[in-house]
Amino acid sequence: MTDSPPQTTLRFAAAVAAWVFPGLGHLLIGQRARGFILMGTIGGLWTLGLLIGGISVIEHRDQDGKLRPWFLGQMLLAPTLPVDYLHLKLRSDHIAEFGRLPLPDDPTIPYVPAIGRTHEQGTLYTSLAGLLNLLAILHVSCQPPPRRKAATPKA
Amino acid sequence: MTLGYTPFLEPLPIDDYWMWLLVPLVFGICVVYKTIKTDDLRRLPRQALALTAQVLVFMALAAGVIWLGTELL
Repeated sequence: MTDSPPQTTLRFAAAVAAWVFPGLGHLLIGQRARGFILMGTIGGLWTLGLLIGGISVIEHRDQDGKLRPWFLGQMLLAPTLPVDYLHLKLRSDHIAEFGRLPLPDDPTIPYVPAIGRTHEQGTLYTSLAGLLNLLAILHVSCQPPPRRKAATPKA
Repeated sequence: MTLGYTPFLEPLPIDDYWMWLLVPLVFGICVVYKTIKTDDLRRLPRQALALTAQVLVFMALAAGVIWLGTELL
């Protein structure tokens, strides 16, 4: 049996909403409790990753211009994209002004780049948050539409 | 300009206890997995905590086995 167009549209909208903000897709199809739990957990992991490593853990290209595979996981959450833009803009502005990359001990620095374990943990948290959001997107794409209350028969 | 600690612009100094960050990460993964798999969300806290404990115990066991292997061989 195929879905009717409104159901397909609703599922597609829910999947896009889940990508835009974790848990939003489930809220859209009426699963409020599940939506709020996913929002808190996935959003919390992503935010914690940013808090641990700072914005420097999110970049689609490294200093050498190579694509970073971890970004494939991170971009499964839409809020990653503006953070990536902000990070690369701050970095390119710094390079344009001083002719080199920002360094942790630099006195004039727009942000402190994470290194070592801090960078690893921040990257791990944000990438896993994105991959968990993919799970939520797939789940919300396969859900039945919200049940409507049966009309009460008129007396 | 020298930054004081500014959230999101400056990393946290976690180098000495980074391994403890595994616990909230595993817990978060287990909560999301169980949220999606469980029909009755009232059982979620118990199931998520049990799965978190299982994962952490087996990771510790695996780490112990690997450590023994590297020490003995």
